[in-house]
Amino acid sequence: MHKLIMLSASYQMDSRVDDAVYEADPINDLFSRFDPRRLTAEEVRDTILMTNGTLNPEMGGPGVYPKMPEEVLATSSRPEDAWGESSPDQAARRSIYIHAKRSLLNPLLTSFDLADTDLTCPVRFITTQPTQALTMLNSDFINEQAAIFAQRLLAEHDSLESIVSHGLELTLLRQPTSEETAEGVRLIGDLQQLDGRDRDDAVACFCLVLLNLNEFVYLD
Amino acid sequence: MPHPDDQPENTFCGQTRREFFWQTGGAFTSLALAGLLSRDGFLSKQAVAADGVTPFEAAARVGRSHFAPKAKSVIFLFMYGGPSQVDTFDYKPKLYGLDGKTIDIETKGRGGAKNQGRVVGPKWKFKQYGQCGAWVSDLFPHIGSCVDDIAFIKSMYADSPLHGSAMLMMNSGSILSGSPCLGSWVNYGLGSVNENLPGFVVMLDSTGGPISGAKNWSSGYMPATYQGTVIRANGTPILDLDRPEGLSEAAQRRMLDQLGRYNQRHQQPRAQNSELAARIASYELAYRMQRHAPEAVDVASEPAKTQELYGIDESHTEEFGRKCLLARRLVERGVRFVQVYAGGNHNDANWDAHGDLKKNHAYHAARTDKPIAGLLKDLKRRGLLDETLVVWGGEFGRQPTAEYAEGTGRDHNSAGFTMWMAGGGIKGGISVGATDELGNRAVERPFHVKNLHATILQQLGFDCNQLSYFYAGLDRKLVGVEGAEPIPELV
Repeated sequence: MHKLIMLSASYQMDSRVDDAVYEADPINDLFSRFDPRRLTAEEVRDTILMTNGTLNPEMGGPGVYPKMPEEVLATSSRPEDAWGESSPDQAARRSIYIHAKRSLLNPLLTSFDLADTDLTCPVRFITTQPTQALTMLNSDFINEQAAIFAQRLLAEHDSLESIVSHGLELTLLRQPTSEETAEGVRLIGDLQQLDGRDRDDAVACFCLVLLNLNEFVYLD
Repeated sequence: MPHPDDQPENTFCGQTRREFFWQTGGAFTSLALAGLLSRDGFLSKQAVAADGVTPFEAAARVGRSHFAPKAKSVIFLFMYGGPSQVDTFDYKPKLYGLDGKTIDIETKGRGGAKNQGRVVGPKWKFKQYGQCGAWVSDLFPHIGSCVDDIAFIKSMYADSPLHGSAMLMMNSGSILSGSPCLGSWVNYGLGSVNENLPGFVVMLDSTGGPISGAKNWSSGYMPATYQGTVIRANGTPILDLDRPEGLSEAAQRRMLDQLGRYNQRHQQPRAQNSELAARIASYELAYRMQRHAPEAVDVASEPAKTQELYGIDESHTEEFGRKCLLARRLVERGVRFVQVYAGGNHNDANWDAHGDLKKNHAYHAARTDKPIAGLLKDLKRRGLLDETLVVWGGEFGRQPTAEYAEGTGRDHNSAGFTMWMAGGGIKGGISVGATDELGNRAVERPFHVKNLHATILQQLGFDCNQLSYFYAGLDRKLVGVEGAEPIPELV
């Protein structure tokens, strides 16, 4: 039975929909497509770490303390001893292992609608806010992860084409089109020539763009 | 919408419970982007708000109150730690003479319930100020000069005499964490008028946040859209607002343009998906926030005279003055709810004067007196006081008696304390309620924190017993399902 379902055309649909199909099945009662969903907060962070190759899959044990921005520590009534410290390897554990302190939560996770720690949460809200974009563009965390991602690609490839195309593939889990690759190469070139970034840095900027793609944070 | 009774069994609003919540979440996706998406007719497709009843637009659109609002925004000056009423605004002449005497008196604080205590006479003299002749202690000469615009509530009481739960009570109406804060309710009800700035802003003391930190500006069971945003008066105002060091605006623009191209191409075959469109738009909003938010917090652009009015030119009032001036700039720009903390961390870093009352209160009053008066005067001369409700107070007050055998320190007291409001349609120069002759308990017209919350919502145009949010099978309200009434004398 499972096999029958999973091999069906309906089960394998993605989220693309044309106007005619949308008219015929506006709220997807007929399973004419997959209803896309945004990754949950933990999934967003874990997927970033997975993509750049740093996710530590170790299971169990006490909670870990990924670096907390100073601004967030300042919201605590005892900023100086509000949070612990973990090695980089431990800090890259899955989000579920992050120490849960109800009054001091990871800003990336709360920004992406982490469940309130005081209440049961049957279904999470999915909000879309500009502050999420700020976190995904400017935070120390995301920029560190993008730089690690860039180093991984730079170590594995020589040509910009391969760097870009492999980067896209790792983020989107599909072969990129030649247009997508060409645009990525052009962005890296422009960042070097017009904005004066060096090569490593320009690749890191490109990686940051990848981690911000809708296709990356939405399962579709 | 059909009545729920007309629906088949086991469904909620014609949907499964899970679908309902799922779609509710989808609706809130766009809330921060309401202005943008309403152009596309997006909002008109949404049936109901999260309470499952209110038409969605009523909850999300500006100006849809239950009745004509007096105030557009609130500035809550939170005196964290609990200032002593009998040393500030609640004049008790009899108390001076009892200094040092042990009397029978029922108190309850962190030291537990007591039946006796050593009176600590008020440590400051009181004077009458203004046309109304309000009594104010020498701790607040500047605020004294504003009393004709102030309504004192001298008979406040709260549920808990302990900081953590009392803070949550004052901020969210409940002693347990998990409920949305006052600022969340205000933004839920009124929506935002400035999409470049958050609608609920919190400014903390430089010594740290209050006990329980972010729980005091949490949106609880409401979506994260309604949670408070911590803004700093110095440096980068909002977390992650600044571009990473060394990245030029042009380079970031180039990255965002390419991000937009990738995202547009991805969206094309999914054109009906408003969430994807909303996320694309959110990047442009973020970009605009980066440009506009620094302007909003640029206190230095204010004339020197204005800065002096707030005491920014003097070292002891500089920090709180800057925050008060920032609060004015934010409400001018449409921020609905600004909360400014005077005091943070623990013990004497806030008003929690357990040890040396004189030292503690002299320090905190000196830091805040001039800035607060400056704020009231500045709002007034700009014509903003009519539409800005200013609230002053802590999570509770303090006892007339000493906590320890030695010293002037007072323990917590939630049985009676003073708060005041000004502006936003509140009558000035009045005082309601009273504590007993020792200032210990609210005895005349006692008002619970819920009455204060009800009054604040009323001034913003809401009936606190109507403004509800559906969660876990209940139409939740800031004042609880039991309801509450505003304080009638204040308007």
